[in-house]
Amino acid sequence: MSDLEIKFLAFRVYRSADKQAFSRLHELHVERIRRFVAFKVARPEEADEITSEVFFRAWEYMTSQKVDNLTAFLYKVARNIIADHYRKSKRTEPLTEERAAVTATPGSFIHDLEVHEEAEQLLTLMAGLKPEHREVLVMRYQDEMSIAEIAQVLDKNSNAVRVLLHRAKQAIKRQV
Amino acid sequence: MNKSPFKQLKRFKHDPRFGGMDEAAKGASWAKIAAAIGVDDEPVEAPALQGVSYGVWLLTQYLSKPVLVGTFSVVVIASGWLTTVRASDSLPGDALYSVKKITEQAQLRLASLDRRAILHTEFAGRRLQEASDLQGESTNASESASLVHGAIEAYKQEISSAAASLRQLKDEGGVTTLATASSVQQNLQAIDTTIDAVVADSVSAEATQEALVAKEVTKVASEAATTVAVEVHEEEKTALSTYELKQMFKSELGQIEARQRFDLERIEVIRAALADESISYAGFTVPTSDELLAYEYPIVAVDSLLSQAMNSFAAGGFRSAFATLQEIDTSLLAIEAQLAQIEITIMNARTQPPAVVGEEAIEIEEPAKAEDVVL
Repeated sequence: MSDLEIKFLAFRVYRSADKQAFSRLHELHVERIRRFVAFKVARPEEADEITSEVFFRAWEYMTSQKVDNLTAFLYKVARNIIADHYRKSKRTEPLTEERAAVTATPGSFIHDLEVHEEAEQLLTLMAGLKPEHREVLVMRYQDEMSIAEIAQVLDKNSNAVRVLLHRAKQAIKRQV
Repeated sequence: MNKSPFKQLKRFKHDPRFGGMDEAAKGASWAKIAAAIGVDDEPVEAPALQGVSYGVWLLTQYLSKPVLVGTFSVVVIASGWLTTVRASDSLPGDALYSVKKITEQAQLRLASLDRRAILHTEFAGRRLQEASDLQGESTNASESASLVHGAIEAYKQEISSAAASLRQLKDEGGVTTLATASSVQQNLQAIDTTIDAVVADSVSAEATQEALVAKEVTKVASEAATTVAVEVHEEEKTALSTYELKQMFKSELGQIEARQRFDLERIEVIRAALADESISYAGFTVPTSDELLAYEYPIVAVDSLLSQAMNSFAAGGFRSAFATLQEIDTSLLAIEAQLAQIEITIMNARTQPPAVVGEEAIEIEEPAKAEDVVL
Protein backbone atom coordinates (compact mmCIF):
# COMPACT_ATOMS: atom_id res chain seq x y z
CA MET A 1 0.00 0.00 0.00
CA SER A 2 1.33 3.41 -0.93
CA ASP A 3 2.07 6.24 1.50
CA LEU A 4 -0.77 8.17 -0.08
CA GLU A 5 -3.27 5.42 0.68
CA ILE A 6 -2.01 5.14 4.27
CA LYS A 7 -2.46 8.90 4.67
CA PHE A 8 -5.99 8.56 3.36
CA LEU A 9 -6.80 5.85 5.90
CA ALA A 10 -5.33 7.98 8.71
CA PHE A 11 -7.43 10.89 7.48
CA ARG A 12 -10.56 8.71 7.63
CA VAL A 13 -9.75 7.77 11.22
CA TYR A 14 -9.32 11.43 12.13
CA ARG A 15 -12.33 12.79 10.25
CA SER A 16 -14.93 10.12 11.00
CA ALA A 17 -13.38 7.74 13.55
CA ASP A 18 -13.46 5.10 10.84
CA LYS A 19 -12.82 1.76 12.56
CA GLN A 20 -12.51 -0.05 9.24
CA ALA A 21 -9.72 2.26 8.20
CA PHE A 22 -8.04 1.79 11.57
CA SER A 23 -8.34 -1.99 11.20
CA ARG A 24 -6.46 -1.78 7.91
CA LEU A 25 -3.77 0.43 9.44
CA HIS A 26 -3.44 -2.01 12.32
CA GLU A 27 -3.01 -4.89 9.89
CA LEU A 28 -0.31 -2.98 8.00
CA HIS A 29 1.72 -1.92 11.01
CA VAL A 30 1.14 -4.37 13.82
CA GLU A 31 3.92 -6.78 12.91
CA ARG A 32 6.71 -4.22 12.80
CA ILE A 33 5.52 -2.61 16.02
CA ARG A 34 5.38 -5.97 17.77
CA ARG A 35 8.86 -6.81 16.46
CA PHE A 36 10.15 -3.48 17.77
CA VAL A 37 8.60 -4.17 21.17
CA ALA A 38 9.59 -7.85 21.29
CA PHE A 39 13.28 -6.99 21.16
CA LYS A 40 12.87 -4.72 24.15
CA VAL A 41 10.97 -6.92 26.56
CA ALA A 42 11.67 -10.38 27.88
CA ARG A 43 8.40 -12.25 27.40
CA PRO A 44 6.18 -12.53 24.30
CA GLU A 45 3.11 -11.90 26.46
CA GLU A 46 4.53 -8.54 27.47
CA ALA A 47 5.20 -7.76 23.79
CA ASP A 48 1.57 -8.58 22.94
CA GLU A 49 0.21 -6.43 25.73
CA ILE A 50 2.37 -3.46 24.87
CA THR A 51 1.56 -3.77 21.15
CA SER A 52 -2.17 -3.69 21.92
CA GLU A 53 -1.63 -0.68 24.16
CA VAL A 54 0.22 1.11 21.33
CA PHE A 55 -2.70 0.74 18.95
CA PHE A 56 -5.29 1.63 21.57
CA ARG A 57 -3.46 4.87 22.39
CA ALA A 58 -2.95 5.52 18.69
CA TRP A 59 -6.70 5.23 18.15
CA GLU A 60 -7.43 7.69 20.92
CA TYR A 61 -4.93 10.18 19.56
CA MET A 62 -5.71 9.76 15.87
CA THR A 63 -9.44 10.33 16.31
CA SER A 64 -8.72 13.77 17.76
CA GLN A 65 -5.45 14.88 16.10
CA LYS A 66 -4.01 14.69 12.60
CA VAL A 67 -0.98 12.45 12.19
CA ASP A 68 1.39 13.19 9.31
CA ASN A 69 3.77 10.25 9.49
CA LEU A 70 1.92 7.28 10.92
CA THR A 71 4.90 4.91 11.06
CA ALA A 72 7.08 7.34 13.00
CA PHE A 73 4.12 8.16 15.25
CA LEU A 74 3.47 4.49 16.13
CA TYR A 75 7.14 3.89 16.96
CA LYS A 76 7.16 6.93 19.21
CA VAL A 77 4.05 5.75 21.04
CA ALA A 78 5.68 2.32 21.43
CA ARG A 79 8.87 3.83 22.86
CA ASN A 80 6.88 5.85 25.39
CA ILE A 81 4.86 2.84 26.52
CA ILE A 82 7.99 0.68 26.82
CA ALA A 83 9.64 3.42 28.92
CA ASP A 84 6.56 3.44 31.18
CA HIS A 85 6.73 -0.32 31.35
CA TYR A 86 10.36 -0.22 32.52
CA ARG A 87 9.61 2.46 35.06
CA LYS A 88 6.76 0.41 36.52
CA SER A 89 8.85 -2.74 36.72
CA LYS A 90 11.95 -0.70 37.79
CA ARG A 91 14.16 -2.18 35.11
CA THR A 92 17.02 -0.17 33.74
CA GLU A 93 18.65 -2.62 31.31
CA PRO A 94 15.68 -4.29 29.74
CA LEU A 95 16.80 -6.99 27.46
CA THR A 96 20.46 -7.74 27.09
CA GLU A 97 21.01 -10.15 29.96
CA GLU A 98 17.42 -11.21 30.34
CA ARG A 99 16.93 -12.03 26.67
CA ALA A 100 20.18 -13.99 26.62
CA ALA A 101 18.96 -15.98 29.61
CA VAL A 102 15.64 -16.62 27.91
CA THR A 103 17.40 -17.79 24.80
CA ALA A 104 19.45 -20.25 26.77
CA THR A 105 16.78 -21.61 29.06
CA PRO A 106 14.99 -24.77 27.96
CA GLY A 107 11.28 -24.37 28.36
CA SER A 108 11.27 -20.69 27.57
CA PHE A 109 9.15 -19.54 24.64
CA ILE A 110 12.07 -19.68 22.25
CA HIS A 111 12.82 -23.32 23.05
CA ASP A 112 9.13 -24.12 23.15
CA LEU A 113 8.94 -23.09 19.53
CA GLU A 114 11.75 -25.52 18.66
CA VAL A 115 13.95 -22.84 17.34
CA HIS A 116 16.14 -23.28 14.40
CA GLU A 117 19.83 -23.22 15.25
CA GLU A 118 20.61 -20.23 13.07
CA ALA A 119 17.75 -18.26 14.49
CA GLU A 120 19.01 -19.05 17.97
CA GLN A 121 22.49 -17.93 17.10
CA LEU A 122 21.15 -14.73 15.64
CA LEU A 123 19.00 -14.08 18.70
CA THR A 124 22.02 -14.61 20.92
CA LEU A 125 24.02 -12.20 18.79
CA MET A 126 21.26 -9.63 18.98
CA ALA A 127 20.93 -10.10 22.73
CA GLY A 128 24.62 -9.28 23.09
CA LEU A 129 24.21 -5.90 21.40
CA LYS A 130 23.48 -2.58 23.01
CA PRO A 131 19.74 -1.79 22.87
CA GLU A 132 20.24 1.15 20.48
CA HIS A 133 22.31 -1.02 18.12
CA ARG A 134 19.72 -3.77 18.18
CA GLU A 135 16.96 -1.25 17.55
CA VAL A 136 18.59 0.32 14.51
CA LEU A 137 19.47 -3.07 12.97
CA VAL A 138 15.88 -4.29 13.33
CA MET A 139 14.55 -1.12 11.73
CA ARG A 140 17.01 -1.24 8.86
CA TYR A 141 17.10 -4.95 8.04
CA GLN A 142 13.81 -6.36 9.28
CA ASP A 143 11.49 -3.41 8.85
CA GLU A 144 13.50 -2.28 5.79
CA MET A 145 13.22 1.39 6.74
CA SER A 146 15.28 4.08 5.03
CA ILE A 147 17.84 6.11 6.99
CA ALA A 148 15.52 9.13 6.83
CA GLU A 149 12.61 7.13 8.29
CA ILE A 150 14.78 5.76 11.10
CA ALA A 151 16.02 9.29 11.82
CA GLN A 152 12.44 10.48 12.21
CA VAL A 153 11.57 7.67 14.59
CA LEU A 154 14.71 8.07 16.71
CA ASP A 155 14.59 11.88 16.68
CA LYS A 156 18.13 12.01 15.35
CA ASN A 157 19.59 13.49 12.20
CA SER A 158 20.51 11.25 9.26
CA ASN A 159 24.23 11.46 9.92
CA ALA A 160 23.79 10.30 13.50
CA VAL A 161 21.70 7.35 12.30
CA ARG A 162 24.32 6.44 9.72
CA VAL A 163 27.01 6.43 12.40
CA LEU A 164 24.80 4.42 14.76
CA LEU A 165 24.05 1.88 12.03
CA HIS A 166 27.72 1.58 11.14
CA ARG A 167 28.62 0.93 14.78
CA ALA A 168 25.80 -1.58 15.15
CA LYS A 169 27.04 -3.46 12.08
CA GLN A 170 30.59 -3.44 13.41
CA ALA A 171 29.37 -4.68 16.79
CA ILE A 172 27.46 -7.63 15.34
CA LYS A 173 30.33 -8.48 12.96
CA ARG A 174 32.75 -8.55 15.90
CA GLN A 175 30.54 -11.08 17.64
CA VAL A 176 30.29 -13.25 14.54
CA MET B 1 27.34 -18.29 11.82
CA ASN B 2 28.19 -18.73 8.16
CA LYS B 3 25.65 -16.43 6.59
CA SER B 4 25.64 -12.67 6.94
CA PRO B 5 23.72 -11.68 10.09
CA PHE B 6 22.05 -8.92 8.07
CA LYS B 7 20.68 -11.38 5.54
CA GLN B 8 19.59 -13.60 8.42
CA LEU B 9 17.74 -10.69 10.00
CA LYS B 10 15.76 -10.25 6.78
CA ARG B 11 15.16 -13.98 6.54
CA PHE B 12 13.66 -14.21 10.02
CA LYS B 13 11.64 -11.01 9.81
CA HIS B 14 8.31 -12.87 10.01
CA ASP B 15 9.56 -15.41 12.54
CA PRO B 16 7.66 -15.21 15.86
CA ARG B 17 10.94 -15.43 17.77
CA PHE B 18 11.86 -12.12 16.22
CA GLY B 19 8.52 -10.57 17.01
CA GLY B 20 6.96 -11.53 13.67
CA MET B 21 3.26 -12.39 13.46
CA ASP B 22 1.21 -14.76 11.33
CA GLU B 23 -2.36 -13.96 10.25
CA ALA B 24 -3.86 -15.65 13.32
CA ALA B 25 -1.69 -13.59 15.66
CA LYS B 26 -2.62 -10.41 13.81
CA GLY B 27 -6.28 -11.37 14.09
CA ALA B 28 -5.94 -11.99 17.83
CA SER B 29 -4.20 -8.65 18.24
CA TRP B 30 -6.97 -6.83 16.37
CA ALA B 31 -9.63 -8.61 18.44
CA LYS B 32 -8.20 -6.98 21.58
CA ILE B 33 -8.15 -3.54 20.00
CA ALA B 34 -11.60 -4.03 18.51
CA ALA B 35 -13.02 -4.90 21.93
CA ALA B 36 -11.38 -1.80 23.43
CA ILE B 37 -12.65 0.64 20.80
CA GLY B 38 -16.05 -0.95 20.45
CA VAL B 39 -16.08 -2.96 17.22
CA ASP B 40 -18.17 -6.11 16.92
CA ASP B 41 -16.43 -9.45 16.79
CA GLU B 42 -17.13 -9.66 13.09
CA PRO B 43 -14.05 -8.87 10.99
CA VAL B 44 -14.21 -5.37 9.63
CA GLU B 45 -14.02 -4.71 5.94
CA ALA B 46 -11.31 -2.31 4.86
CA PRO B 47 -12.54 0.84 3.11
CA ALA B 48 -12.14 0.88 -0.66
CA LEU B 49 -9.20 2.97 -1.74
CA GLN B 50 -11.14 4.30 -4.68
CA GLY B 51 -14.48 5.90 -5.29
CA VAL B 52 -15.79 9.37 -4.62
CA SER B 53 -14.46 9.95 -1.09
CA TYR B 54 -10.92 8.89 -1.99
CA GLY B 55 -11.03 11.00 -5.15
CA VAL B 56 -12.28 14.05 -3.27
CA TRP B 57 -9.64 13.58 -0.59
CA LEU B 58 -6.91 13.27 -3.20
CA LEU B 59 -8.09 16.46 -4.80
CA THR B 60 -8.17 18.41 -1.54
CA GLN B 61 -4.85 17.01 -0.33
CA TYR B 62 -2.91 17.39 -3.51
CA LEU B 63 -4.65 20.21 -5.27
CA SER B 64 -1.84 22.65 -4.58
CA LYS B 65 0.79 20.80 -6.63
CA PRO B 66 -1.29 20.35 -9.82
CA VAL B 67 -2.39 23.97 -9.53
CA LEU B 68 1.26 25.03 -9.24
CA VAL B 69 2.27 22.90 -12.21
CA GLY B 70 -0.74 24.08 -14.22
CA THR B 71 -0.09 27.73 -13.45
CA PHE B 72 3.54 27.34 -14.39
CA SER B 73 2.58 25.65 -17.66
CA VAL B 74 0.15 28.43 -18.51
CA VAL B 75 2.80 31.06 -17.73
CA VAL B 76 5.34 29.30 -19.92
CA ILE B 77 2.90 28.90 -22.80
CA ALA B 78 1.56 32.44 -22.44
CA SER B 79 4.96 34.04 -22.32
CA GLY B 80 5.94 32.06 -25.34
CA TRP B 81 8.19 29.14 -26.01
CA LEU B 82 10.46 31.40 -28.00
CA THR B 83 11.16 33.54 -24.96
CA THR B 84 12.27 30.49 -22.99
CA VAL B 85 14.51 29.34 -25.82
CA ARG B 86 16.04 32.79 -26.18
CA ALA B 87 16.51 33.02 -22.44
CA SER B 88 18.61 29.85 -22.45
CA ASP B 89 21.43 31.76 -24.15
CA SER B 90 21.17 34.83 -21.92
CA LEU B 91 23.91 35.97 -19.58
CA PRO B 92 23.77 37.59 -16.13
CA GLY B 93 22.72 41.22 -16.61
CA ASP B 94 20.50 40.41 -19.64
CA ALA B 95 16.78 41.11 -19.47
CA LEU B 96 15.91 37.46 -20.17
CA TYR B 97 18.33 36.04 -17.61
CA SER B 98 15.65 35.96 -14.90
CA VAL B 99 13.48 33.76 -17.19
CA LYS B 100 16.38 31.33 -17.52
CA LYS B 101 16.78 31.17 -13.72
CA ILE B 102 13.03 30.72 -13.14
CA THR B 103 12.95 27.87 -15.68
CA GLU B 104 15.84 26.19 -13.87
CA GLN B 105 14.16 26.62 -10.49
CA ALA B 106 10.98 25.05 -11.86
CA GLN B 107 12.95 22.11 -13.24
CA LEU B 108 14.55 21.59 -9.83
CA ARG B 109 11.24 21.78 -7.99
CA LEU B 110 9.63 19.17 -10.21
CA ALA B 111 12.64 16.83 -10.27
CA SER B 112 13.14 13.78 -8.08
CA LEU B 113 16.07 13.88 -5.65
CA ASP B 114 18.43 11.85 -7.85
CA ARG B 115 17.60 13.92 -10.92
CA ARG B 116 18.02 17.11 -8.84
CA ALA B 117 21.61 16.21 -7.93
CA ILE B 118 22.46 15.77 -11.62
CA LEU B 119 20.57 18.94 -12.61
CA HIS B 120 22.61 20.98 -10.13
CA THR B 121 25.83 19.84 -11.82
CA GLU B 122 24.36 20.69 -15.25
CA PHE B 123 23.41 24.17 -14.01
CA ALA B 124 26.87 24.55 -12.47
CA GLY B 125 28.31 23.89 -15.95
CA ARG B 126 26.06 26.67 -17.30
CA ARG B 127 27.24 29.12 -14.61
CA LEU B 128 30.83 28.34 -15.51
CA GLN B 129 30.09 28.89 -19.19
CA GLU B 130 28.42 32.19 -18.32
CA ALA B 131 31.47 33.27 -16.32
CA SER B 132 33.65 32.40 -19.30
CA ASP B 133 31.35 34.23 -21.77
CA LEU B 134 31.21 37.30 -19.52
CA GLN B 135 34.98 37.77 -19.62
CA GLY B 136 35.51 41.09 -21.35
CA GLU B 137 31.83 41.20 -22.42
CA SER B 138 31.12 44.58 -20.86
CA THR B 139 32.92 47.78 -21.68
CA ASN B 140 32.80 48.63 -18.00
CA ALA B 141 35.64 46.58 -16.44
CA SER B 142 34.37 46.72 -12.87
CA GLU B 143 30.83 45.75 -13.92
CA SER B 144 32.23 42.84 -15.94
CA ALA B 145 34.37 41.68 -12.99
CA SER B 146 31.36 41.86 -10.69
CA LEU B 147 29.18 39.77 -13.06
CA VAL B 148 31.95 37.17 -13.47
CA HIS B 149 32.36 36.99 -9.72
CA GLY B 150 28.58 36.58 -9.34
CA ALA B 151 28.56 33.72 -11.87
CA ILE B 152 31.41 31.97 -10.04
CA GLU B 153 29.55 32.35 -6.73
CA ALA B 154 26.41 30.87 -8.36
CA TYR B 155 28.60 28.05 -9.70
CA LYS B 156 29.86 27.27 -6.18
CA GLN B 157 26.27 27.27 -4.92
CA GLU B 158 25.13 24.80 -7.61
CA ILE B 159 28.07 22.49 -6.93
CA SER B 160 27.46 22.42 -3.19
CA SER B 161 23.72 21.84 -3.80
CA ALA B 162 24.60 18.88 -6.05
CA ALA B 163 26.75 17.37 -3.29
CA ALA B 164 24.03 18.03 -0.68
CA SER B 165 21.30 16.41 -2.84
CA LEU B 166 23.50 13.37 -3.37
CA ARG B 167 24.16 13.04 0.34
CA GLN B 168 20.43 13.37 1.07
CA LEU B 169 19.67 10.68 -1.51
CA LYS B 170 22.18 8.38 0.21
CA ASP B 171 20.71 9.14 3.65
CA GLU B 172 17.23 8.33 2.43
CA GLY B 173 18.47 4.99 1.13
CA GLY B 174 17.63 5.79 -2.51
CA VAL B 175 18.16 2.80 -4.78
CA THR B 176 19.67 4.98 -7.50
CA THR B 177 22.31 6.57 -5.23
CA LEU B 178 25.30 4.85 -6.78
CA ALA B 179 24.20 5.51 -10.36
CA THR B 180 23.50 9.13 -9.46
CA ALA B 181 26.91 9.50 -7.77
CA SER B 182 28.47 8.13 -10.93
CA SER B 183 26.57 10.63 -13.14
CA VAL B 184 27.42 13.52 -10.82
CA GLN B 185 31.07 12.48 -10.90
CA GLN B 186 31.05 12.35 -14.72
CA ASN B 187 29.53 15.83 -14.93
CA LEU B 188 32.08 17.17 -12.45
CA GLN B 189 34.90 15.70 -14.51
CA ALA B 190 33.50 17.35 -17.63
CA ILE B 191 33.39 20.64 -15.72
CA ASP B 192 36.97 20.11 -14.54
CA THR B 193 38.08 19.64 -18.16
CA THR B 194 36.26 22.86 -19.09
CA ILE B 195 38.10 24.70 -16.32
CA ASP B 196 41.42 23.39 -17.62
CA ALA B 197 40.48 24.69 -21.06
CA VAL B 198 39.60 28.09 -19.54
CA VAL B 199 43.01 28.18 -17.87
CA ALA B 200 44.75 27.20 -21.11
CA ASP B 201 42.90 29.84 -23.16
CA SER B 202 42.94 32.49 -20.48
CA VAL B 203 44.19 35.94 -21.37
CA SER B 204 43.61 37.54 -18.00
CA ALA B 205 45.03 36.96 -14.55
CA GLU B 206 41.56 37.41 -12.98
CA ALA B 207 40.07 34.64 -15.12
CA THR B 208 42.89 32.27 -14.15
CA GLN B 209 42.37 33.00 -10.46
CA GLU B 210 38.59 32.54 -10.71
CA ALA B 211 39.12 29.26 -12.58
CA LEU B 212 41.39 28.00 -9.81
CA VAL B 213 38.74 28.78 -7.21
CA ALA B 214 36.17 26.89 -9.29
CA LYS B 215 38.56 23.95 -9.59
CA GLU B 216 38.97 23.74 -5.82
CA VAL B 217 35.18 23.72 -5.30
CA THR B 218 34.78 21.01 -7.96
CA LYS B 219 37.43 18.91 -6.25
CA VAL B 220 35.57 19.01 -2.90
CA ALA B 221 32.27 18.01 -4.55
CA SER B 222 33.97 15.24 -6.51
CA GLU B 223 35.45 13.81 -3.31
CA ALA B 224 32.01 13.93 -1.69
CA ALA B 225 30.46 12.01 -4.63
CA THR B 226 33.19 9.38 -4.42
CA THR B 227 32.70 9.00 -0.67
CA VAL B 228 28.97 8.47 -1.15
CA ALA B 229 29.62 5.85 -3.86
CA VAL B 230 32.09 3.94 -1.67
CA GLU B 231 29.72 4.04 1.31
CA VAL B 232 26.85 2.68 -0.80
CA HIS B 233 29.06 -0.09 -2.12
CA GLU B 234 30.24 -1.02 1.38
CA GLU B 235 26.61 -1.37 2.44
CA GLU B 236 25.39 -3.23 -0.65
CA LYS B 237 28.46 -5.17 -1.86
CA THR B 238 26.65 -6.34 -5.00
CA ALA B 239 28.13 -7.13 -8.41
CA LEU B 240 26.38 -4.04 -9.76
CA SER B 241 27.80 -1.74 -7.09
CA THR B 242 31.30 -3.16 -7.73
CA TYR B 243 30.85 -2.51 -11.45
CA GLU B 244 29.65 1.08 -10.89
CA LEU B 245 32.56 1.76 -8.54
CA LYS B 246 35.00 0.29 -11.05
CA GLN B 247 33.65 2.59 -13.76
CA MET B 248 34.04 5.60 -11.45
CA PHE B 249 37.58 4.61 -10.57
CA LYS B 250 38.55 4.15 -14.23
CA SER B 251 37.04 7.47 -15.15
CA GLU B 252 38.82 9.29 -12.30
CA LEU B 253 42.07 7.57 -13.17
CA GLY B 254 41.75 8.71 -16.80
CA GLN B 255 41.02 12.24 -15.62
CA ILE B 256 44.17 12.37 -13.51
CA GLU B 257 46.32 10.97 -16.32
CA ALA B 258 44.92 13.63 -18.67
CA ARG B 259 45.70 16.34 -16.12
CA GLN B 260 49.19 14.96 -15.69
CA ARG B 261 49.81 15.26 -19.46
CA PHE B 262 48.20 18.70 -19.56
CA ASP B 263 50.35 20.01 -16.68
CA LEU B 264 53.53 18.71 -18.30
CA GLU B 265 52.55 20.50 -21.52
CA ARG B 266 51.98 23.69 -19.53
CA ILE B 267 55.51 23.46 -18.18
CA GLU B 268 56.81 23.08 -21.73
CA VAL B 269 54.87 26.18 -22.80
CA ILE B 270 56.22 28.12 -19.80
CA ARG B 271 59.73 26.96 -20.60
CA ALA B 272 59.34 28.16 -24.21
CA ALA B 273 57.90 31.50 -23.09
CA LEU B 274 60.77 32.07 -20.65
CA ALA B 275 63.26 31.29 -23.42
CA ASP B 276 61.53 33.76 -25.77
CA GLU B 277 63.97 36.62 -26.08
CA SER B 278 61.34 39.01 -27.38
CA ILE B 279 59.80 39.20 -23.89
CA SER B 280 61.57 41.13 -21.20
CA TYR B 281 61.26 39.66 -17.72
CA ALA B 282 63.28 42.36 -16.08
CA GLY B 283 61.63 43.24 -12.79
CA PHE B 284 59.54 40.07 -12.71
CA THR B 285 60.37 37.05 -10.62
CA VAL B 286 60.28 34.02 -12.87
CA PRO B 287 61.52 30.50 -12.17
CA THR B 288 64.87 29.27 -13.39
CA SER B 289 65.18 26.16 -15.50
CA ASP B 290 66.08 24.10 -12.42
CA GLU B 291 63.10 25.43 -10.53
CA LEU B 292 60.83 24.41 -13.38
CA LEU B 293 62.25 20.90 -13.07
CA ALA B 294 61.22 20.94 -9.43
CA TYR B 295 57.60 21.47 -10.57
CA GLU B 296 57.93 18.80 -13.22
CA TYR B 297 59.30 16.06 -11.01
CA PRO B 298 56.27 15.56 -8.72
CA ILE B 299 53.95 15.52 -11.74
CA VAL B 300 55.95 12.69 -13.30
CA ALA B 301 56.14 10.95 -9.91
CA VAL B 302 52.33 10.68 -9.91
CA ASP B 303 52.80 7.49 -11.98
CA SER B 304 53.96 5.46 -9.00
CA LEU B 305 51.01 6.62 -6.90
CA LEU B 306 48.61 5.76 -9.70
CA SER B 307 50.04 2.23 -9.70
CA GLN B 308 49.57 2.10 -5.94
CA ALA B 309 45.92 3.18 -6.29
CA MET B 310 45.31 0.57 -9.00
CA ASN B 311 46.82 -2.16 -6.82
CA SER B 312 44.65 -1.14 -3.87
CA PHE B 313 41.55 -1.17 -6.06
CA ALA B 314 42.39 -4.58 -7.51
CA ALA B 315 42.78 -5.93 -3.97
CA GLY B 316 39.34 -4.61 -3.01
CA GLY B 317 40.64 -1.65 -1.00
CA PHE B 318 38.25 0.79 -2.68
CA ARG B 319 38.34 3.43 0.03
CA SER B 320 42.12 3.43 0.08
CA ALA B 321 42.33 3.50 -3.74
CA PHE B 322 40.06 6.53 -3.98
CA ALA B 323 41.92 8.18 -1.09
CA THR B 324 45.17 7.83 -3.04
CA LEU B 325 43.54 9.41 -6.10
CA GLN B 326 42.30 12.28 -3.94
CA GLU B 327 45.81 12.71 -2.54
CA ILE B 328 47.19 12.95 -6.09
CA ASP B 329 44.43 15.38 -6.98
CA THR B 330 45.35 17.65 -4.05
CA SER B 331 49.04 17.59 -4.97
CA LEU B 332 48.32 18.35 -8.63
CA LEU B 333 46.00 21.17 -7.65
CA ALA B 334 48.76 22.77 -5.56
CA ILE B 335 51.23 22.53 -8.43
CA GLU B 336 48.63 23.84 -10.90
CA ALA B 337 48.07 26.90 -8.69
CA GLN B 338 51.81 27.63 -8.79
CA LEU B 339 51.94 27.11 -12.57
CA ALA B 340 49.01 29.51 -12.94
CA GLN B 341 50.93 32.09 -10.92
CA ILE B 342 53.88 31.79 -13.32
CA GLU B 343 51.55 32.05 -16.33
CA ILE B 344 50.03 35.22 -14.87
CA THR B 345 53.53 36.67 -14.49
CA ILE B 346 54.35 35.82 -18.10
CA MET B 347 51.10 37.44 -19.25
CA ASN B 348 51.92 40.56 -17.23
CA ALA B 349 55.43 40.66 -18.65
CA ARG B 350 54.00 40.46 -22.18
CA THR B 351 51.46 43.20 -21.72
CA GLN B 352 52.98 45.70 -19.32
CA PRO B 353 56.30 46.78 -17.89
CA PRO B 354 56.87 46.16 -14.17
CA ALA B 355 55.83 49.03 -11.90
CA VAL B 356 59.19 49.42 -10.17
CA VAL B 357 62.04 47.45 -11.59
CA GLY B 358 63.92 45.41 -9.01
CA GLU B 359 62.01 46.59 -5.90
CA GLU B 360 58.34 45.69 -6.24
CA ALA B 361 58.70 42.81 -8.60
CA ILE B 362 55.86 40.27 -8.64
CA GLU B 363 56.70 37.53 -6.23
CA ILE B 364 56.23 33.90 -7.13
CA GLU B 365 56.08 31.24 -4.50
CA GLU B 366 59.29 29.23 -4.30
CA PRO B 367 58.87 25.90 -6.05
CA ALA B 368 58.89 22.96 -3.71
CA LYS B 369 62.02 20.88 -3.84
CA ALA B 370 61.48 17.49 -5.39
CA GLU B 371 62.30 15.65 -2.15
CA ASP B 372 59.90 17.86 -0.15
CA VAL B 373 56.88 17.25 -2.31
CA VAL B 374 54.62 14.85 -0.52
CA LEU B 375 52.53 12.90 -2.96
